[in-house]
Amino acid sequence: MTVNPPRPLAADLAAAVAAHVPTLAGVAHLAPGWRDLIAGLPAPAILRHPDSHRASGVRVTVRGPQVEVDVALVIAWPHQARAVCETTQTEVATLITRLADTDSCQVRVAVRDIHIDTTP
Amino acid sequence: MAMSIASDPVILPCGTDLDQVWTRLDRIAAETHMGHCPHCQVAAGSLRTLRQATGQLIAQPPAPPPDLTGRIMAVVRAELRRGRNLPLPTRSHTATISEYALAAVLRYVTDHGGELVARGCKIAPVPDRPGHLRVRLGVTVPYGSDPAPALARLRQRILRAADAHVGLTLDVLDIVVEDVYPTTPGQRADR
Repeated sequence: MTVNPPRPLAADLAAAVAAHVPTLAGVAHLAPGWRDLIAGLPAPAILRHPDSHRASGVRVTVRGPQVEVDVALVIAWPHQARAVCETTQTEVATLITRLADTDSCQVRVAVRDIHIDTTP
Repeated sequence: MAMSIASDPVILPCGTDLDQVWTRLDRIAAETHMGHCPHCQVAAGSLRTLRQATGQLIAQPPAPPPDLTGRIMAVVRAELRRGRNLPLPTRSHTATISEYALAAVLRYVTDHGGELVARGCKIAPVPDRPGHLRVRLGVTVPYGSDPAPALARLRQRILRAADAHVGLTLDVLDIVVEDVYPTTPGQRADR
């Protein structure tokens, strides 16, 4: 009998995305919103829904076979925001496909700011 | 009413429902069966431990991180500054860029191109044309010189920067001279 490994929870996927995105060229850092603060508060595990997780500027929602990812980030000047978004979407979709074993992955990227470093 | 973790009853090997042990937990020694049954005794011990642990958790005052207020206010201020999100078309998915981020780029290009200083910046998407925008940029120009050449250069720089650094096209770019500043060194107008 073949036993399938358990599917990673949304929290596991969110943690993987949050670790990978800041390493991409042109990404200054993730941009957590105020809603992400709630995820940082201590709460019983029973209150955390396994199909949706939000933390550090990344939200992952698992809807059956489909995985939806929202990433909020800050671009590092002088990279082009659109190119960085496309790279992020490709990389995150590849990561989710590998981890969650799904081909149905929607990645939405929101550029919150552009970090213009004016130091010489 | 007894509360159970799941809707299905949990039956001990002796046939007693765990809910019955729970409801008689404080007087179990006086019970005919439960007071002597080893299964019920073990279950009662576990339930007492559970009750004690949850009681301690409930009594524990929540301790927010020491910098929680500062973090909340920083995020709230940042959210207010960012304004609305503008669509940023990509190959296969959805992306957006905040109005604040785009305005920051346009202001930076304006302020670092020469003698013009950026002021207010209003951005609006062109209906039914994703990735195309209308921009109204206010500037301050130096007093005593013809601003036309500098404004023409600024227009080209902004159009290039919107494409090169953001990936958006400005269908309409209105540059409005809102003020002049004295040309004496050190008296450049504030933004």
